[in-house]
Amino acid sequence: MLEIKDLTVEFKTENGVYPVLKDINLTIKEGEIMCIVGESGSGKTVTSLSIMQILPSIAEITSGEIWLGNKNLLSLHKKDMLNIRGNEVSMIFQDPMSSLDPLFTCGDQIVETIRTHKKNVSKKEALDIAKDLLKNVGIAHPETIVDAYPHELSGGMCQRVMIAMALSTEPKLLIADEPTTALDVTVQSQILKLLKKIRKDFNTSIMFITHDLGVVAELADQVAVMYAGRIVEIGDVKSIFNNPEHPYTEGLMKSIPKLNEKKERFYSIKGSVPGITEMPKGCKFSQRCSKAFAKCFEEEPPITEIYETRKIRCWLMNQKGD
Amino acid sequence: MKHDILIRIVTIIFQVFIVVTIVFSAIRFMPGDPAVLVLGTEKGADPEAVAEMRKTLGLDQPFLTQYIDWMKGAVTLDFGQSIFSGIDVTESIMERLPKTLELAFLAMILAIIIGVPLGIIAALYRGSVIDSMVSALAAVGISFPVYIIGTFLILLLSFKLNLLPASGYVSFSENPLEHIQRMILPALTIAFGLASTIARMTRSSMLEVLNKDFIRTLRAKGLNERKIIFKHAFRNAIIAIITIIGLELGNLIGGTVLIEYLFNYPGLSSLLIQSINNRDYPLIQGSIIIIATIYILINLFVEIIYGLVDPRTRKQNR
Amino acid sequence: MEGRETILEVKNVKKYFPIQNNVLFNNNTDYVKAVDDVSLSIRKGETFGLVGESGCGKSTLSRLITRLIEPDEGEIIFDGQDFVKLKGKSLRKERKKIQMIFQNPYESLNPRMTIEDIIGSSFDIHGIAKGKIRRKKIEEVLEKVGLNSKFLTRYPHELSGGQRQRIGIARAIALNPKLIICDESVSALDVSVQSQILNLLKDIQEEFNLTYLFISHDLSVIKNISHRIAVMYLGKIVEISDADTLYESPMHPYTKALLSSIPIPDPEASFQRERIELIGDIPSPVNPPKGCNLCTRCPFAMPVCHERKPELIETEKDHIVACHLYTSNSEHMKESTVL
Repeated sequence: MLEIKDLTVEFKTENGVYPVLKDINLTIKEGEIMCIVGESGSGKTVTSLSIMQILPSIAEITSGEIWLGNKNLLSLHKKDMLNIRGNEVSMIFQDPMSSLDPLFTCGDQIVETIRTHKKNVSKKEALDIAKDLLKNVGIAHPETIVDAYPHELSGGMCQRVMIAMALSTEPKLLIADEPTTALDVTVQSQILKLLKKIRKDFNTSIMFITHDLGVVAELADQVAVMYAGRIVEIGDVKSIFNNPEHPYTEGLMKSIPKLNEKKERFYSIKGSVPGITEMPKGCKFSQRCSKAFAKCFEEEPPITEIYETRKIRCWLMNQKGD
Repeated sequence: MKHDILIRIVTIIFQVFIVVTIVFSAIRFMPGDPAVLVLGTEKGADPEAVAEMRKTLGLDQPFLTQYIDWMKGAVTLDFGQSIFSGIDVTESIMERLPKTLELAFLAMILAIIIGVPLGIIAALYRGSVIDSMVSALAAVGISFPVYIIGTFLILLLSFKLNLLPASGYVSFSENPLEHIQRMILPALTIAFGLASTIARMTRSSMLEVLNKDFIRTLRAKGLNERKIIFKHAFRNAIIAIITIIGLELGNLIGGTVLIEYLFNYPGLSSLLIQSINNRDYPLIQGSIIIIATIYILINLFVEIIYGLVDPRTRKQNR
Repeated sequence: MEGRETILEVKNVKKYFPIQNNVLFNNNTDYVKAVDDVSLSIRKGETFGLVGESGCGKSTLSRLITRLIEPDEGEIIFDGQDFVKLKGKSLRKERKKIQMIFQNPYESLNPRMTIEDIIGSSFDIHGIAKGKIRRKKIEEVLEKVGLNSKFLTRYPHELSGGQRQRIGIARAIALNPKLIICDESVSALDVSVQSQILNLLKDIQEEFNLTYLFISHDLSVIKNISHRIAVMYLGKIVEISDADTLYESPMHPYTKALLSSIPIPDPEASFQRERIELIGDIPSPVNPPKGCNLCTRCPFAMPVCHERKPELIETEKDHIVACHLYTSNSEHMKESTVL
């Protein structure tokens, strides 16, 4: 349903042009939940903004294709893209309260979304649809909420409003960029449950971006691990958790403090993520990798399928000839 | 809601009261004796005549008595008589107040019409040639003293191009066309500097708002750029702009003396300066109080507008 | 950890923030009961975890302990002294012994000061060292947090989040404190950086025999670093116990709900586990319920829960709970997964 092919994005700064995303390839099927995991600087947000084409002005998509069904989003006219955005593909963001216009009521903002894409719906009709949507996302008293302003609601409520707004146009794909990071853990749990229900009821595909592996385990069907603007591992969630192949994925899994184990020391990957101006030659993870060898520092590995349902970007696997 | 209005009114009265008291006390500490000034240099040298005049003017009374007497009058808007001219203070002020208000509003409207669109354009085309030009023009408008801009406009539009009269005032009832003609140059002079401030503020406010998270959401919703800018971004940016307008409007009520001198415009500012030079206590007091009250009312008005535009500033009812 | 002396004792501390309801003649003041009768004691050398969600009062409590804000009621006994009553010079002297590491590494360092000045200011404020000795002390402290002296001349914006947090730690240990309060000190960091900082904190604790009050909303982190943990909800402590027991046999329904909502990084386990869920949203701290703070959301609520606030009682050794389910003669309610 969504297919990203060889996507490369660059940032044009005063000091030069730097690649922020390189050769991104991923596919999301209908009704599938794909989690993109990565730490800051991994490029996960840029990927989502590229699909929506709402990148900041210093960013430029220099190559690749993004197929939504049978349309290449990157080759569409601006006007056609406006019809896709918020309509066939919707997005929700990290800080729900600041992601809504403080001067308009929640009801107005949902109605605006509906009427932007469905021109012949009246205000009243749209408001009724909005109230139904709010009920569907677990808000008990939609009549009060439609007249409320964002600053009057809690974070969890605002996020539900955002979700209702995103779903108002029955999108095929919902992109969620760290929507629960700023929320309390009990509220997060409710939102994750809601997203699973949405997938089930409407067969919506979800691209969920996060840095929290716990959330990935709960939500994902497929996982893509990103590092320094590249996908380093991608595959089925159970298989990745049971058997991470890429050293970075392995390191991430080991670093998370777990509830069911107690350790004296926390595992940490040595070093830190290189800035976009300091990217090493060869594999971008090589300087921090405990298993790196000569080739890793010279040449960047391509992403290869090592077995069914698993692709990684690492010379280790290639070396073994799998 | 009723309580709200009541509190506001009480606050205003309290604020005016404080202003009044400070003004009343402060001017009595100014050097110079009004009695001497009224009598002139010759007679003023005579201490007996001075003492006599002081009695006539009521200046020999103790401070508190003067204060209470004056306050009694002030409550009924009777501010006494001008020491210098003997004319009723209220009358003098009322002759000039409408003219000042007219000039202020005209200037402000011109400034908004010029400044806001320029600010928006500069923000939307940030970093471009247009932006630099607007910023440069704004810098000129803000840094050049108002009498230089005024003089320049007079030279250009009045002398060189002969489009408008250089100075003077003609009332509307006398000759509507000429009235408007004579208002244009002073209003434009003020508007030049004001528009610069407003343009700058509009630009930075718009830029700030355009960087906010909710703008990104609006784009993600598939709204077209025009709606994003005018329905959403501008409305959010307006709050900061309104603040500036309120502040500047207040300044225009009492601070246009240079314009008034340059264009021979009979406004409140020059009346005030004149009265200070003459140590004309009643007139000083009356003028300042009127100016201060208007300023406070403008503030109130701005606050009310905030409440209308920004739901976050309204009292929580939930 | 038993048998160790108590370094900090908090007794019945309250902090209510008034909200003015601006009505002219009707002085109706509502209060946000940020910290509502909290008592706890921290033993020397341990790491005491304080966990709760937003609005529970844990940050306010940490500020009360350091007297960045003053308590309305209650006692705070630090190192044997009545901390609340201290003033002036003696307060300054005691203040050196409690330090704080904040959450946001991007905002808690003065952007206009060099690293040397930031750490040095601790010495300057207490008049401890000058000139060469000061410089040497700063370098020593930097070394302890894993940074070398080339960082002295840098400014905060030149450092990464992890490095800035190390500076925050350096500043905290510069004065040889006895107690360090870590207020969400790793919450804003990436996972891999987080582990580095947590390891550093553990090392420093051992080396300097420090006591930590570790505040966080992240239960997994807290479990792995704390000896004992207190759970807060809406200004009150609901449960205190040692780390292992809290996770293995939590008693308070809120603790259970909290634990069951943490996403587990294991797709199989996540699928199979038992969930205790709270109903609805957190009530406003301005108008907490008359009875137990949780009564409107608790899946096990009984009539008495709506009437009376439960007291903190010790149900088993070193395990304290405030919940009517466990008061004297009531038997445990059968746990059930509700909704």
